[in-house]
Amino acid sequence: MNAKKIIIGLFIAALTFTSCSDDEGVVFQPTTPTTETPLGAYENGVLIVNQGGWTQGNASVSFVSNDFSVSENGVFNNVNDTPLGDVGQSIAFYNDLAYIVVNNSQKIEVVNRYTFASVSTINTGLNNPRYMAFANGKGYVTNWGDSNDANDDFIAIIDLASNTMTSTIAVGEGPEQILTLNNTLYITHKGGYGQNNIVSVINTTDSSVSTITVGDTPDEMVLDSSNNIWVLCEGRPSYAAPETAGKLVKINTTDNTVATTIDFQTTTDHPKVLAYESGYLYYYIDEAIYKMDETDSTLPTNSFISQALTEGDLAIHSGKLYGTRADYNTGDSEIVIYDLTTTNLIQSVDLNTGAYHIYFN
Amino acid sequence: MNRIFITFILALFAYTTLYAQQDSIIKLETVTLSDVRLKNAADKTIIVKISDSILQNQNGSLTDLLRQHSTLYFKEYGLGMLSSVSFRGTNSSQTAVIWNGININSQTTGQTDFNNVGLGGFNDISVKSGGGSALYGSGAIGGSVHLQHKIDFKKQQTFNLSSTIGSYENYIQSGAFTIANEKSYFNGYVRHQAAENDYPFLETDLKNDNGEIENFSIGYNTAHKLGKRDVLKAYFSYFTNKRNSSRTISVPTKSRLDDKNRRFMLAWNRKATKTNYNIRLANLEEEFKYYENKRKKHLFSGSEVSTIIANADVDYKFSHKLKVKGAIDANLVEAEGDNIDKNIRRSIAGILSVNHKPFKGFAYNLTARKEATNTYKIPFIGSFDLNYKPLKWYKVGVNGSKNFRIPTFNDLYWEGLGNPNLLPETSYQASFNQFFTYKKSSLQLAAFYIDTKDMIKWTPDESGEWHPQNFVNVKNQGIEATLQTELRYKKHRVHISGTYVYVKAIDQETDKQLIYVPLHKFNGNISYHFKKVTAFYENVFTDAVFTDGNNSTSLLSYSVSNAGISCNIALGENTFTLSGKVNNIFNKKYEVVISRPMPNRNFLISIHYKYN
Repeated sequence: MNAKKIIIGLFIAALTFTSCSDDEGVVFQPTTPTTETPLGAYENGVLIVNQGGWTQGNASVSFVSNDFSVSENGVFNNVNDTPLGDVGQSIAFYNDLAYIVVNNSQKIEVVNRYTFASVSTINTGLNNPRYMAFANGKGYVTNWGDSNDANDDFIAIIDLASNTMTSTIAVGEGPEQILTLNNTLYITHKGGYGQNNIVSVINTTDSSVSTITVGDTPDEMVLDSSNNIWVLCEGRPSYAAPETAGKLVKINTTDNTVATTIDFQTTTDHPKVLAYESGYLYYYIDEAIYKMDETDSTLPTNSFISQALTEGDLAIHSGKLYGTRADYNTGDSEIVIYDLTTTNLIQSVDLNTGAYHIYFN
Repeated sequence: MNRIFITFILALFAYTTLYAQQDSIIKLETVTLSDVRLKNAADKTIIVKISDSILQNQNGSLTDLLRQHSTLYFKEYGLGMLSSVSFRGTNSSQTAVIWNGININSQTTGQTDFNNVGLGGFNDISVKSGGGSALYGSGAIGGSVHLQHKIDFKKQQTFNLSSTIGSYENYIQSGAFTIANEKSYFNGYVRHQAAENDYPFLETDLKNDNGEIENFSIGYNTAHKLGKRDVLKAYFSYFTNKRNSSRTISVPTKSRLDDKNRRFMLAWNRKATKTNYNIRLANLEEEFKYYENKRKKHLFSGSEVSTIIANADVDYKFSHKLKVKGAIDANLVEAEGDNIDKNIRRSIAGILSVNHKPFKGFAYNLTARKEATNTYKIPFIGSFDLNYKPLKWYKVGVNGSKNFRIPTFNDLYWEGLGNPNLLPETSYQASFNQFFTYKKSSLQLAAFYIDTKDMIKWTPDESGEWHPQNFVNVKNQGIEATLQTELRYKKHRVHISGTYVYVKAIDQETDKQLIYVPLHKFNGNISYHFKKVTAFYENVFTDAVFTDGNNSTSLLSYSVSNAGISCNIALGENTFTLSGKVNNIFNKKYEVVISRPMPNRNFLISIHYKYN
């Protein structure tokens, strides 16, 4: 989601100031012996994809073990002795494999998710790849196409045996995040360089596409306990007049219609990143994290945890809340980890430039 | 000579500095420059002058030329790509580029891309260190680069034709002619370069894909004397530059940038006994188009800017000791683009300058400028400069100035992100200069200090939107040294020149060195001339630079050398020059900007024909 801002920012900042960090330093501390046979060094922990700076060639993946005893930056580079590429966008997992989408390098690195040893590289046919999901034994990758062309956006279909793109499905402008439910794909259209307001629904058996209109700039999605999809719409930003407020939209996946829309208060309210656990939705706005019961019809008024997650992500796992933040001016990045019950900060770890999405391995 | 050398070393170690001046700008009365403000009597902080002979044999870019012959550091995004300058550690919009007396920095980016300046139209380049805003307006904080065409009312008829072939399908053709007598002068030129530019990235399987460049410049410089006192001059230059954007180590690209620049200036000069009048009217047009996918020709974004400049200078000579200049600069800038709404900026500035030589060897200059615009407030600025020459071979000077840099149209008006409340950046600076000259040798040293406030920086807010703000404060300090010497033995002549600059540019908030500012930069040039043969060797050393704000990552330092040889064959009034050059002779792998490798060893062969 942040690549657009990085692009705009760096473009006009006209080369005077940029930032990056390429700290390949490895911090290994003794691990507590486990009785199970480990599947690899990167099991039982958190993976973070770090975007790096635009055209700095310093995208990376970081690992933090569940007990925080081990952390390592530049995992892909360390294991494979080659740079990951430019602008780490997202990671998708399928069986024992991790698919790392590297946006500006126009490629997907396929690695063993536990050892991070390289398996393959998908680098033909993609054009501004964003996110990947799996259905019917195939991979589906959202692609903006040329970001100034509203009519060339597509979903790339990947043959997982050969790791090649076999065909494409044309979709509306700016397909972003992608989620699979019963072999049906749900895709938010954040809008690429512009803004869109739809969710595409793709039937993977016949590749037919239908759309659901939601709020402006839909980005993150979560699946709740009743198989509804919640979409966080950020609203149109101030630089893309007319500015609009964010919305939280619930899609009923039995008939693919909008079941509930909860509006944010003012046009300057632009919520970011959404997480779900055990009946609660978590989102981020104005330097604070909010927690909302999925059955509530109004937004919470009090924040849950006060924590800046600038340009970062939010995720919840095993009673802990994980947040990333990145400062593209200095290159500083970190992951912060809170206890979900006490809301106390329990750990923070410095990461490589542009820390972004968080995954549990 | 020995004593001078020892003094130099002592001076260097004692962290004091010397300063020297190479050529008097006004040494030839028959030569007229349109940049009348550059020959200001006390104002001689010229560090480097690049002569016509070097320019004539130039088959690289303006970036190559200045990197090799001046203290300037260039952040070049791969060969021929965007090239932004850092002068005394300042940023790219803090160096003013002056074309025949007119500031030509882009109104949208505030800077000059030194790979987007048409060559062929000027025969004199001067690089002036230190603040010059009082005379040249916005951006002259680190210093100024003056691109000029000297007009010489001497009976002449010269033709130049030149053709160069280089590695990676680099073809340069140029032609120029000058016809002049005591009353009239006309110079016309044309130059074309096309290069595939697909050099391999050393130690990888990659090459510089999508690096093709093609540029074309055409123009004229003309002058005519109207009676005894009046000279009318006209300058025209047109330049188109089509550049694909090179891939990086990790980013394949398919984008392209097209630039067009058109400049026209009419100047009138009247010399009376005590008074000298100069009036200049100029029109500058800049246009760019950016294609994200070069194959989709209908999809691009861009902008167009038109600038009209009117200047009037009046110099009055009270005596041979006291001269006063009064000047008015008026500017009208109109910009419009896909991301900028149509905006007009009007500004008018008044300048008053005094040159006084109270006694022999001592001179000082005081200049003040007040500018008003329709968009923001510009502070009152000024400069002082004094020089004392106690000995025939030694001169000492000190200068100080307050300078400014206005926000660009992008800073102010970028759709939804620009900040119309920005203030101009202001900077205070001081420089202590010394120079030695002895026969054909000169040595100049300067110690400088620059304190820049309210620097404009694009920075993300808490929601991740990038906006420009006036909030950075940077202090730069360092030393500059320039050395030139020539040794002769019978028909053998050896010319040696070099520059060295040390600069610390510290962001006062973070206490870190600014990114892309090397602590040390050195260049050295040695040429050997014997009869009709010239051979040269040149080297540039650039220290490591940080590539991020927290100074945790850096690019390695690099030392790159070139060498070449040329031979003149004269047949009556016809001269043929054959020359060959090897760039990066030791095949060093280096990056000037992260992830963008520069060329490996490559070759150029030229033939130059001259008739006069």
